[in-house]
Amino acid sequence: MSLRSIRQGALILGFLGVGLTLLFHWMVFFWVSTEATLGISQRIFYIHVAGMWTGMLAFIVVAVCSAMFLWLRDDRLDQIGQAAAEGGLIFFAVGLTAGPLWARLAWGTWWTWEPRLTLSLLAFFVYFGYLMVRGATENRERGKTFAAVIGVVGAINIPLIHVSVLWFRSLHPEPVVARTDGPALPADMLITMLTALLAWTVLLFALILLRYGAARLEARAEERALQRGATV
Amino acid sequence: MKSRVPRPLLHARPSGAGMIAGTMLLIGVASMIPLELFAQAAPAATRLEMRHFWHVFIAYALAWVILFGWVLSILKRLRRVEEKLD
Repeated sequence: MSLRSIRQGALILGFLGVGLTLLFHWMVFFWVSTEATLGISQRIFYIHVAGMWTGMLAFIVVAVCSAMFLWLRDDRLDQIGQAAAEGGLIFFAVGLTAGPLWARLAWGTWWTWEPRLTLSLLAFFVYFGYLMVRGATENRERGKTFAAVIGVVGAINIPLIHVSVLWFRSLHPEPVVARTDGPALPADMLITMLTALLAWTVLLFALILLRYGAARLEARAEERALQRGATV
Repeated sequence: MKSRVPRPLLHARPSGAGMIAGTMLLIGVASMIPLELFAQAAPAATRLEMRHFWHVFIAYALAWVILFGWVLSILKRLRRVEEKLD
């Protein structure tokens, strides 16, 4: 994949993602009905869930790329993994900041160490470590390998976050969308939720592509600098 | 000996990417203001209801700030590496 096509892909996906994001904002504030018990604060749900979902999706991309990097030793896989880890952290940060703002009104507390919240915070720090460890070693290749191992091992946490509300006693409600007997949301809320998920998934992949393009250019610049150093 | 005159802040011109990001941020924030909801709730605007509004506003504003922060950091990185390659 050439750098030009990466940029074009990022641009197309970016425009689509921004358009869908504006649409879901319009739906959240002007179209979807207000939930009877939680009131207006329930509208935080759409960015909270979309942020967490997109973050988890990005972490799955990190795990797949890390596993493939350990096998194939292709630097491009490491670069995609790094871009996805940054994206995952960003969207997870959105979910983790929106969550307490909603929890304060719904549960009466900003934060509680219940299983899903604790596991989500753990995932955030695991992937923060994934980014930190690559710069912490003197040997760059070793740093990439350590990061890839963290990327793979950290993925064990992702399904646990999803099933934690079923396995443990939790303040979080049971899943309302991904259920075996179908979604438990009213139609307008479900449509808004799915639009939000689609919008931020598209935006995530656009930004991952853009970040990957930047990483490829950086690698090229480093290569050139090395070549110049060798000829001098 | 040359004297260094500090450049006034007003003469500083924002970069193209900065202007685009700033405009998009303004559009994003403007699109978040729930005017219709605000009008509906105004007559019975209790303190609790206002608190709900603020929490929604802060949650969406923070989401945009975090996302734009990342976009800006990528654009900055791209510009730096392109300058290096040129």
